Amino acid sequence: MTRDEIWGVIKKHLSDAVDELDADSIDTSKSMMDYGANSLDLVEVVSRSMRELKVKIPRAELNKLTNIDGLIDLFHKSIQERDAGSAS
Amino acid sequence: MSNERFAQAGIHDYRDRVVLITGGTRGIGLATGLAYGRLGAHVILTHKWGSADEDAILREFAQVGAPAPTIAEADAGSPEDTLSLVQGIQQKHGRLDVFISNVAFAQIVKTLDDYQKRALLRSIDYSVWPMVEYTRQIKAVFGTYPRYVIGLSSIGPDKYTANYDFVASSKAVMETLCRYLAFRLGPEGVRVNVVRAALVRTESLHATMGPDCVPFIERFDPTMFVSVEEVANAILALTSGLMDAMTGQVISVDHGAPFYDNIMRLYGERDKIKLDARPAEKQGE
Repeated sequence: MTRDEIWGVIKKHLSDAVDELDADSIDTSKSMMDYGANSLDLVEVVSRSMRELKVKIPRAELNKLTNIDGLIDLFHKSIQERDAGSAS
Repeated sequence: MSNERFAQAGIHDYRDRVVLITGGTRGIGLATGLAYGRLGAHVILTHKWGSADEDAILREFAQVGAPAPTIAEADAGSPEDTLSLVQGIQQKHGRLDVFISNVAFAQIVKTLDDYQKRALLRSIDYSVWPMVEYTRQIKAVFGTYPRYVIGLSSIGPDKYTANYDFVASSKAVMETLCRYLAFRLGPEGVRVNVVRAALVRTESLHATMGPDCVPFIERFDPTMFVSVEEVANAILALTSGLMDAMTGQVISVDHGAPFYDNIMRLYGERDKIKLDARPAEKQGE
Protein backbone atom coordinates (compact mmCIF):
# COMPACT_ATOMS: atom_id res chain seq x y z
CA MET A 1 0.00 0.00 0.00
CA THR A 2 1.38 3.42 -0.86
CA ARG A 3 1.79 6.35 1.43
CA ASP A 4 -0.77 8.30 -0.59
CA GLU A 5 -3.34 5.54 -0.22
CA ILE A 6 -2.79 5.52 3.53
CA TRP A 7 -3.21 9.28 3.64
CA GLY A 8 -6.45 8.88 1.70
CA VAL A 9 -7.86 6.64 4.43
CA ILE A 10 -6.73 8.91 7.25
CA LYS A 11 -8.01 12.00 5.45
CA LYS A 12 -11.43 10.40 4.97
CA HIS A 13 -11.79 9.66 8.67
CA LEU A 14 -10.44 13.07 9.64
CA SER A 15 -13.05 14.73 7.42
CA ASP A 16 -15.77 12.62 9.05
CA ALA A 17 -14.58 13.48 12.52
CA VAL A 18 -14.05 17.23 12.23
CA ASP A 19 -16.87 19.51 11.14
CA GLU A 20 -16.46 21.76 8.10
CA LEU A 21 -12.96 20.62 7.29
CA ASP A 22 -11.70 21.26 3.78
CA ALA A 23 -9.82 18.00 3.36
CA ASP A 24 -8.02 19.12 0.22
CA SER A 25 -6.39 22.01 2.01
CA ILE A 26 -4.78 19.95 4.75
CA ASP A 27 -1.05 20.44 5.16
CA THR A 28 0.27 17.13 6.50
CA SER A 29 3.26 18.82 8.09
CA LYS A 30 0.78 20.19 10.61
CA SER A 31 -1.03 18.44 13.41
CA MET A 32 -4.68 17.39 13.26
CA MET A 33 -5.26 19.72 16.18
CA ASP A 34 -4.22 22.63 13.96
CA TYR A 35 -7.38 21.84 12.00
CA GLY A 36 -9.68 21.85 15.00
CA ALA A 37 -9.49 18.19 15.98
CA ASN A 38 -9.76 17.50 19.71
CA SER A 39 -8.32 14.54 21.58
CA LEU A 40 -11.39 12.40 21.00
CA ASP A 41 -11.30 13.16 17.29
CA LEU A 42 -7.70 11.94 17.19
CA VAL A 43 -8.68 8.68 18.83
CA GLU A 44 -11.57 8.26 16.42
CA VAL A 45 -9.45 8.97 13.33
CA VAL A 46 -6.64 6.64 14.35
CA SER A 47 -8.98 3.93 15.57
CA ARG A 48 -11.04 3.89 12.35
CA SER A 49 -7.93 4.05 10.21
CA MET A 50 -6.41 1.08 12.05
CA ARG A 51 -9.63 -0.86 11.50
CA GLU A 52 -9.81 -0.08 7.80
CA LEU A 53 -6.12 -0.65 7.17
CA LYS A 54 -6.16 -3.78 9.34
CA VAL A 55 -3.10 -2.80 11.31
CA LYS A 56 -2.49 -2.00 14.98
CA ILE A 57 -0.33 0.83 16.19
CA PRO A 58 0.87 0.75 19.82
CA ARG A 59 -0.43 3.70 21.78
CA ALA A 60 3.08 4.48 23.00
CA GLU A 61 4.12 5.13 19.38
CA LEU A 62 1.16 7.41 18.79
CA ASN A 63 2.04 9.57 21.78
CA LYS A 64 5.31 10.54 20.10
CA LEU A 65 3.71 11.98 16.97
CA THR A 66 3.72 15.69 16.31
CA ASN A 67 2.05 15.96 12.91
CA ILE A 68 0.00 14.11 10.29
CA ASP A 69 3.08 13.11 8.31
CA GLY A 70 4.31 11.24 11.35
CA LEU A 71 1.03 9.34 11.56
CA ILE A 72 1.12 8.43 7.88
CA ASP A 73 4.71 7.24 8.21
CA LEU A 74 3.81 5.15 11.24
CA PHE A 75 0.95 3.46 9.42
CA HIS A 76 3.13 2.94 6.36
CA LYS A 77 5.87 1.30 8.41
CA SER A 78 3.41 -0.90 10.28
CA ILE A 79 1.73 -2.05 7.09
CA GLN A 80 5.07 -2.87 5.48
CA GLU A 81 6.09 -4.87 8.55
CA ARG A 82 2.78 -6.69 8.54
CA ASP A 83 3.02 -7.51 4.85
CA ALA A 84 6.65 -8.62 5.19
CA GLY A 85 5.62 -10.89 8.02
CA SER A 86 2.87 -12.52 5.99
CA ALA A 87 5.10 -12.98 2.94
CA SER A 88 7.77 -14.93 4.86
CA MET B 1 -18.56 -20.39 56.08
CA SER B 2 -19.18 -23.28 53.71
CA ASN B 3 -20.64 -22.79 50.27
CA GLU B 4 -23.90 -24.34 51.45
CA ARG B 5 -24.16 -21.84 54.23
CA PHE B 6 -23.33 -19.03 51.80
CA ALA B 7 -26.20 -20.28 49.64
CA GLN B 8 -28.51 -20.45 52.63
CA ALA B 9 -27.57 -16.87 53.44
CA GLY B 10 -28.47 -15.86 49.88
CA ILE B 11 -24.88 -15.27 48.84
CA HIS B 12 -23.94 -16.35 45.33
CA ASP B 13 -21.26 -18.93 44.69
CA TYR B 14 -19.10 -17.30 42.04
CA ARG B 15 -17.21 -20.40 41.08
CA ASP B 16 -17.82 -20.91 37.37
CA ARG B 17 -19.86 -17.74 37.03
CA VAL B 18 -18.83 -15.38 34.25
CA VAL B 19 -18.07 -11.70 34.66
CA LEU B 20 -17.30 -9.22 31.87
CA ILE B 21 -15.47 -5.99 32.74
CA THR B 22 -14.79 -3.40 30.08
CA GLY B 23 -11.64 -1.38 30.64
CA GLY B 24 -10.68 -4.20 32.95
CA THR B 25 -6.92 -4.31 32.55
CA ARG B 26 -6.06 -1.42 34.88
CA GLY B 27 -7.20 0.45 37.95
CA ILE B 28 -10.70 -0.22 39.25
CA GLY B 29 -11.49 -2.63 36.42
CA LEU B 30 -8.51 -4.86 37.16
CA ALA B 31 -9.10 -4.76 40.93
CA THR B 32 -12.70 -5.77 40.31
CA GLY B 33 -11.61 -8.61 38.05
CA LEU B 34 -9.26 -9.88 40.74
CA ALA B 35 -12.01 -9.64 43.36
CA TYR B 36 -14.27 -11.90 41.30
CA GLY B 37 -11.38 -14.12 40.31
CA ARG B 38 -10.58 -14.80 43.98
CA LEU B 39 -14.09 -16.20 44.28
CA GLY B 40 -13.49 -18.54 41.35
CA ALA B 41 -15.29 -16.58 38.64
CA HIS B 42 -14.28 -16.62 35.01
CA VAL B 43 -13.40 -13.05 34.20
CA ILE B 44 -13.18 -11.37 30.83
CA LEU B 45 -11.24 -8.10 30.83
CA THR B 46 -11.34 -5.84 27.81
CA HIS B 47 -8.95 -3.15 26.75
CA LYS B 48 -8.47 -1.00 23.73
CA TRP B 49 -5.48 -0.51 21.64
CA GLY B 50 -2.90 -2.80 23.12
CA SER B 51 -2.95 -0.99 26.44
CA ALA B 52 -2.64 -4.11 28.57
CA ASP B 53 0.40 -5.86 30.00
CA GLU B 54 -1.13 -9.29 29.64
CA ASP B 55 1.68 -11.25 31.27
CA ALA B 56 1.56 -9.04 34.37
CA ILE B 57 -2.22 -9.45 34.63
CA LEU B 58 -2.05 -13.21 34.26
CA ARG B 59 0.58 -13.33 37.02
CA GLU B 60 -1.63 -11.28 39.35
CA PHE B 61 -4.55 -13.64 38.84
CA ALA B 62 -2.34 -16.66 39.38
CA GLN B 63 -0.94 -15.16 42.58
CA VAL B 64 -4.42 -14.94 44.13
CA GLY B 65 -5.37 -18.40 42.93
CA ALA B 66 -7.94 -17.11 40.44
CA PRO B 67 -8.77 -18.80 37.14
CA ALA B 68 -6.78 -17.23 34.32
CA PRO B 69 -8.79 -14.35 32.89
CA THR B 70 -9.55 -13.81 29.26
CA ILE B 71 -7.96 -10.57 28.12
CA ALA B 72 -9.62 -9.25 24.98
CA GLU B 73 -8.93 -6.23 22.86
CA ALA B 74 -12.33 -4.67 22.13
CA ASP B 75 -13.25 -1.10 21.39
CA ALA B 76 -16.25 -0.39 23.63
CA GLY B 77 -17.41 2.19 21.10
CA SER B 78 -17.56 -0.36 18.29
CA PRO B 79 -20.78 -2.43 17.97
CA GLU B 80 -18.85 -4.92 15.82
CA ASP B 81 -16.24 -5.47 18.55
CA THR B 82 -18.98 -5.74 21.16
CA LEU B 83 -20.89 -8.38 19.23
CA SER B 84 -17.78 -10.36 18.42
CA LEU B 85 -16.70 -10.35 22.08
CA VAL B 86 -20.08 -11.37 23.41
CA GLN B 87 -20.33 -14.17 20.84
CA GLY B 88 -16.90 -15.35 21.92
CA ILE B 89 -18.00 -15.43 25.57
CA GLN B 90 -21.09 -17.39 24.62
CA GLN B 91 -19.04 -19.94 22.72
CA LYS B 92 -16.49 -20.35 25.49
CA HIS B 93 -18.60 -20.10 28.64
CA GLY B 94 -22.24 -20.39 27.64
CA ARG B 95 -23.28 -17.83 30.24
CA LEU B 96 -22.65 -14.25 31.35
CA ASP B 97 -23.76 -13.32 34.84
CA VAL B 98 -22.33 -9.88 35.49
CA PHE B 99 -21.51 -7.05 33.13
CA ILE B 100 -19.48 -4.13 34.47
CA SER B 101 -19.24 -1.09 32.25
CA ASN B 102 -16.04 0.50 33.49
CA VAL B 103 -14.56 2.01 30.36
CA ALA B 104 -14.66 5.79 30.14
CA PHE B 105 -13.09 8.17 27.69
CA ALA B 106 -13.99 11.82 27.51
CA GLN B 107 -12.66 15.16 26.42
CA ILE B 108 -10.74 17.03 29.11
CA VAL B 109 -11.90 20.65 29.29
CA LYS B 110 -9.42 23.34 30.25
CA THR B 111 -11.21 26.43 28.91
CA LEU B 112 -14.55 27.28 27.42
CA ASP B 113 -12.89 27.03 24.00
CA ASP B 114 -12.82 23.26 24.54
CA TYR B 115 -16.61 23.15 24.51
CA GLN B 116 -17.49 21.43 21.25
CA LYS B 117 -20.79 19.63 20.81
CA ARG B 118 -19.20 16.69 19.06
CA ALA B 119 -16.68 16.29 21.91
CA LEU B 120 -19.53 16.12 24.42
CA LEU B 121 -21.49 13.66 22.30
CA ARG B 122 -18.43 11.53 21.70
CA SER B 123 -17.64 11.52 25.42
CA ILE B 124 -21.11 10.11 26.03
CA ASP B 125 -20.69 7.69 23.14
CA TYR B 126 -17.50 6.23 24.57
CA SER B 127 -18.28 6.42 28.28
CA VAL B 128 -21.99 5.72 28.59
CA TRP B 129 -23.48 4.04 25.55
CA PRO B 130 -21.42 0.85 25.96
CA MET B 131 -23.45 0.15 29.10
CA VAL B 132 -26.54 -0.01 26.91
CA GLU B 133 -24.99 -1.58 23.82
CA TYR B 134 -23.30 -4.42 25.69
CA THR B 135 -26.46 -5.17 27.66
CA ARG B 136 -28.46 -5.35 24.45
CA GLN B 137 -25.91 -7.52 22.68
CA ILE B 138 -25.76 -9.90 25.63
CA LYS B 139 -29.52 -10.37 25.39
CA ALA B 140 -29.32 -10.80 21.61
CA VAL B 141 -26.60 -13.46 21.81
CA PHE B 142 -27.53 -15.30 25.01
CA GLY B 143 -31.28 -14.87 24.85
CA THR B 144 -31.23 -13.45 28.38
CA TYR B 145 -29.80 -10.40 30.05
CA PRO B 146 -27.00 -10.58 32.61
CA ARG B 147 -28.40 -10.69 36.12
CA TYR B 148 -26.32 -7.67 37.09
CA VAL B 149 -25.27 -4.58 35.17
CA ILE B 150 -22.95 -2.14 36.92
CA GLY B 151 -21.73 1.21 35.65
CA LEU B 152 -18.84 3.20 37.08
CA SER B 153 -19.34 6.87 37.81
CA SER B 154 -17.52 9.56 39.77
CA ILE B 155 -18.14 12.59 41.99
CA GLY B 156 -18.13 14.91 38.97
CA PRO B 157 -21.93 15.19 38.51
CA ASP B 158 -22.37 16.68 41.98
CA LYS B 159 -19.05 18.27 42.83
CA TYR B 160 -16.83 20.62 40.91
CA THR B 161 -13.84 18.68 39.64
CA ALA B 162 -11.14 20.40 37.61
CA ASN B 163 -11.24 19.80 33.85
CA TYR B 164 -14.11 17.39 34.30
CA ASP B 165 -16.95 19.14 32.51
CA PHE B 166 -17.57 16.49 29.87
CA VAL B 167 -16.54 13.54 32.01
CA ALA B 168 -19.02 14.70 34.65
CA SER B 169 -21.72 15.29 32.06
CA SER B 170 -21.22 11.76 30.75
CA LYS B 171 -21.44 10.33 34.25
CA ALA B 172 -24.63 12.28 34.87
CA VAL B 173 -26.12 10.70 31.78
CA MET B 174 -25.01 7.28 32.98
CA GLU B 175 -26.53 7.75 36.41
CA THR B 176 -29.87 8.82 34.97
CA LEU B 177 -29.89 6.03 32.40
CA CYS B 178 -29.16 3.59 35.21
CA ARG B 179 -32.47 4.46 36.85
CA TYR B 180 -34.48 4.13 33.66
CA LEU B 181 -32.69 0.96 32.61
CA ALA B 182 -33.40 -0.53 36.01
CA PHE B 183 -37.09 0.24 35.48
CA ARG B 184 -37.12 -1.29 32.00
CA LEU B 185 -35.04 -4.36 32.86
CA GLY B 186 -36.53 -4.99 36.29
CA PRO B 187 -39.24 -7.31 34.91
CA GLU B 188 -36.40 -9.34 33.34
CA GLY B 189 -34.81 -9.85 36.76
CA VAL B 190 -31.87 -7.57 36.01
CA ARG B 191 -30.35 -5.28 38.64
CA VAL B 192 -28.78 -2.14 37.21
CA ASN B 193 -26.73 0.01 39.55
CA VAL B 194 -23.96 2.55 39.33
CA VAL B 195 -21.00 2.77 41.69
CA ARG B 196 -19.78 6.30 42.12
CA ALA B 197 -16.13 6.19 43.13
CA ALA B 198 -14.50 9.21 44.73
CA LEU B 199 -10.85 10.04 44.21
CA VAL B 200 -8.84 6.97 43.34
CA ARG B 201 -5.11 6.97 42.63
CA THR B 202 -5.17 5.61 39.09
CA GLU B 203 -3.55 6.39 35.77
CA SER B 204 -6.87 7.85 34.73
CA LEU B 205 -6.80 10.40 37.56
CA HIS B 206 -3.22 11.27 36.70
CA ALA B 207 -4.11 11.73 33.03
CA THR B 208 -7.12 13.90 33.81
CA MET B 209 -5.79 16.07 36.63
CA GLY B 210 -2.07 16.12 36.00
CA PRO B 211 0.83 14.85 38.12
CA ASP B 212 0.48 17.44 40.91
CA CYS B 213 -3.07 16.55 41.92
CA VAL B 214 -2.40 13.51 44.09
CA PRO B 215 0.50 15.08 46.07
CA PHE B 216 -1.59 18.24 46.54
CA ILE B 217 -4.56 16.39 48.01
CA GLU B 218 -2.32 14.15 50.08
CA ARG B 219 -0.92 17.29 51.73
CA PHE B 220 -4.33 18.03 53.18
CA ASP B 221 -6.02 14.66 53.67
CA PRO B 222 -4.77 11.40 52.14
CA THR B 223 -7.82 9.57 53.53
CA MET B 224 -9.90 11.24 50.85
CA PHE B 225 -8.58 8.69 48.40
CA VAL B 226 -10.40 5.41 48.14
CA SER B 227 -8.53 2.37 46.93
CA VAL B 228 -9.37 0.38 43.83
CA GLU B 229 -9.96 -2.60 46.13
CA GLU B 230 -12.58 -0.70 48.11
CA VAL B 231 -14.46 0.15 44.92
CA ALA B 232 -14.15 -3.46 43.75
CA ASN B 233 -15.58 -4.70 47.04
CA ALA B 234 -18.60 -2.44 46.69
CA ILE B 235 -19.23 -3.81 43.20
CA LEU B 236 -18.85 -7.34 44.51
CA ALA B 237 -21.32 -6.60 47.29
CA LEU B 238 -23.91 -5.32 44.81
CA THR B 239 -23.75 -8.58 42.90
CA SER B 240 -23.42 -10.86 45.93
CA GLY B 241 -27.11 -11.68 46.11
CA LEU B 242 -27.53 -9.86 49.42
CA MET B 243 -28.31 -6.52 47.78
CA ASP B 244 -30.77 -7.74 45.14
CA ALA B 245 -33.44 -5.39 46.46
CA MET B 246 -31.26 -2.52 45.25
CA THR B 247 -31.58 -1.50 41.65
CA GLY B 248 -31.53 1.82 39.84
CA GLN B 249 -29.26 3.15 42.56
CA VAL B 250 -26.12 5.24 42.55
CA ILE B 251 -23.91 4.05 45.37
CA SER B 252 -21.07 6.25 46.53
CA VAL B 253 -17.76 4.80 47.62
CA ASP B 254 -16.02 7.83 49.07
CA HIS B 255 -15.15 7.54 52.78
CA GLY B 256 -17.83 10.20 53.34
CA ALA B 257 -15.43 12.79 51.92
CA PRO B 258 -17.86 14.83 49.79
CA PHE B 259 -19.54 16.03 52.97
CA TYR B 260 -16.38 17.56 54.43
CA ASP B 261 -14.36 18.31 51.34
CA ASN B 262 -15.04 22.05 51.28
CA ILE B 263 -13.59 25.46 51.96
CA MET B 264 -15.00 25.64 55.48
CA ARG B 265 -12.93 22.63 56.38
CA LEU B 266 -9.83 24.31 54.99
CA TYR B 267 -10.58 27.28 57.21
CA GLY B 268 -11.30 25.15 60.26
CA GLU B 269 -8.05 23.22 59.88
CA ARG B 270 -5.92 26.09 58.67
CA ASP B 271 -3.42 25.82 61.53
CA LYS B 272 -3.06 22.07 61.15
CA ILE B 273 -2.31 22.35 57.45
CA LYS B 274 -0.31 25.58 57.89
CA LEU B 275 -2.56 27.58 55.63
CA ASP B 276 -2.17 31.33 56.06
CA ALA B 277 -5.79 32.52 56.09
CA ARG B 278 -5.07 36.18 56.91
CA PRO B 279 -5.90 38.95 54.45
CA ALA B 280 -3.38 39.24 51.63
CA GLU B 281 -1.87 42.46 52.98
CA LYS B 282 -1.09 40.83 56.33
CA GLN B 283 0.47 37.66 54.98
CA GLY B 284 4.17 37.37 55.49
CA GLU B 285 4.10 39.57 58.62
